[in-house]
Amino acid sequence: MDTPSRHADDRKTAVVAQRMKKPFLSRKTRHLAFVWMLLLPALLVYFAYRAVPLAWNVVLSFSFWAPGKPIRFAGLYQYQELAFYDGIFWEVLKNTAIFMLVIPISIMLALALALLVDQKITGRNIYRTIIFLPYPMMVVAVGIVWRWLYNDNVGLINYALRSMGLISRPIAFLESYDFALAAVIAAAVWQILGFFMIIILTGLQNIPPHLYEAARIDGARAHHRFWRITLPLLRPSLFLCVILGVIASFTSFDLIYTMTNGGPGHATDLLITYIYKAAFTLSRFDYAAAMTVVMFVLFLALALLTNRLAGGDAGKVDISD
Amino acid sequence: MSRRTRILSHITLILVSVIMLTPIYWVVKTSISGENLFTYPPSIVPHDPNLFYYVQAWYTVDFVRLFTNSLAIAVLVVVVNLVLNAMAGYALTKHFPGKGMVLGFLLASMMIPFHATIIPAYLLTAKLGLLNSKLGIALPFFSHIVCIFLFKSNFEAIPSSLVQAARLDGLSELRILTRIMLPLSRPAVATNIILSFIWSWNDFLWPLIVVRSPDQETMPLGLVSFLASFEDTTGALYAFCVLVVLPSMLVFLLAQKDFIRGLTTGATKG
Amino acid sequence: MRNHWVWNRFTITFGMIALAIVAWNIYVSFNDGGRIVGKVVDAMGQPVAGAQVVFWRQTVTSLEKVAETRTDAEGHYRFHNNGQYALVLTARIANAQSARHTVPLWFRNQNVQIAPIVVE
Repeated sequence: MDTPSRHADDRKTAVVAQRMKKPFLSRKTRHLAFVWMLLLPALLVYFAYRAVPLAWNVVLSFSFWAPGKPIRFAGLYQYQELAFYDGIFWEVLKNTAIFMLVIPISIMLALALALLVDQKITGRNIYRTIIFLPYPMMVVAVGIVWRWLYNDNVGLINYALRSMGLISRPIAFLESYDFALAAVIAAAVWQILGFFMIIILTGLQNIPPHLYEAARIDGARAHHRFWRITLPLLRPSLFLCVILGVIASFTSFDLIYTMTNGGPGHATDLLITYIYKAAFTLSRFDYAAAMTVVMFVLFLALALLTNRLAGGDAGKVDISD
Repeated sequence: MSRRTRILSHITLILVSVIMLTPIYWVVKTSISGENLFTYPPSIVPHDPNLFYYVQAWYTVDFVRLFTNSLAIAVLVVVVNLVLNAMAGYALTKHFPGKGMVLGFLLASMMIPFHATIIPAYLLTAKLGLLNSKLGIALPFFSHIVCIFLFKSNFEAIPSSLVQAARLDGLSELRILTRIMLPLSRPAVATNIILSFIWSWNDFLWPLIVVRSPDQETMPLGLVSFLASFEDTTGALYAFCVLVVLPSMLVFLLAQKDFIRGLTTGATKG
Repeated sequence: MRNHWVWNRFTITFGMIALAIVAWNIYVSFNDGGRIVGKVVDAMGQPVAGAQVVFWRQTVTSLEKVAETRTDAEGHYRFHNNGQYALVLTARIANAQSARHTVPLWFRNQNVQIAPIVVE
């Protein structure tokens, strides 16, 4: 609706404006000033809290700097440290990669659930609400609740497993090197599952029904319809989930902080929690900045890769331009 | 659909719903009974439920202060978001040189997770002298790109004849935005309010970094310091959890549709 | 149009909540004298005069004594300005002693009538 009619508008208004009074500035200049005046505050926020920090991070990562000290050029020192001398960094990186198991697990479950609640069955809206309910909850509270569900003495999960006869003695999930990360992943899946389900559901509802009709007339069986129609057409939604899952893996600070604070040892430390500790408990801002740069590059690479795999339309949402 | 698939679907969905609701049920149960903090096996139904752990939580932490801090920040974020996003969204419906650049900048900013900016953001906030202040906590969240685009597409759907008529009536551009565009964009306004409220309310990492003194603590910070000082063996902790989660749950349940629409159209919150 | 913005489920829900808070605060302001009244009885249910009643405060680790008093001829005792939101009361006389009596309150300084404390 933009170009022609809008220009006609502009011309008409220009005429009207001229008739009313002689403007101080030309109409075009005023229009431009108005537009930029509207845009400026929002742009300023993004400039100050997105663009500037990105550059600042890069500068810091090549420097020696601590609060109150002059900044000195460090070359690749920080990067060398994290690559060759900091074993924990690699462990944390590995943990972050393992934490990404949240993505396939949640997506598969969410897909199944979305297919179920997409049917015309009674109470489907209630099911949707219930499954989505954990998502808007405060993650800090979620972490505390799960930490207690995992408690070895009185936790519900140990109780359930014991009464089912699966284990004979309680397991301190969050204090065990074997289980802690898996336990955190389960909590993360619980929270994000509903969100993925809603995204996939939206994708499902956007599939034109006549495609299914045509397939049915052609005698395609249900699972054929699923593999040939549903899944291919859901690709953008599924890849959007992947990207959101990648973001979640790089930003799940609250959950880790409250459930384990990275422990035992560094068994559940993710990049973001390790960066936080380096910067705000050890005051090693320069080193943390280097890790942030690595995190951002990894994130960008994964997001672009996902987008490429999706054929360029992952996260293709209604941002009409 | 056959009867059998119908029943199977229901069974599966009920099972999943039970699993999803169990943690919620469990925390509510403990908050009203304090049971199975020390006892094993835990009981499934609360005996003798009461609300006294809530009273304890209320007085043990300075609940009113935490609540008003969180609320003040959330209100600030919501109001500024509405103004900035509506303005920017309106500007983006117009044609002007550099529009492509602005759109590119916004989309690129969307790809920078806030978590990847915390260190410089902290240093910047310190330079501005806003550490340990409500403004400092709120500032980075003064605009959400998702909502800008939401407003943009909403404004574009408004018939241009309406705008034209208003212009002929001599309304200024600003008046057109406030008198005609905004009242016709109820869904975008609602979504913006809800998303920015819930994100601001639940935010933890940024206040954790910025807040230095207890009198500026927000709800999640209060919850964490409560956990740190009392361990997780008191019913009051779980009562506190319920109280903290309640406002955002309420907002979500009241405005489910707007919330979900906002999430699915915008998807990445950045 | 205007009504839509003013009367919707948000304003109604939050209005109700605000109303409930106001009502609760009014109720509290009329009932927060911090008066504790009660009675001490023996195992037979007879009032005990001259019993020592101690009013404690529960802290995280221990009990802290706040005040103490003695019961009158009808076995009644009373405290003022308790300033607490959970009470622990004990009574003793000569060689008889009561169990710990824990009374959670709904708000700080609530006026309460406590069920008879039994000493035996």
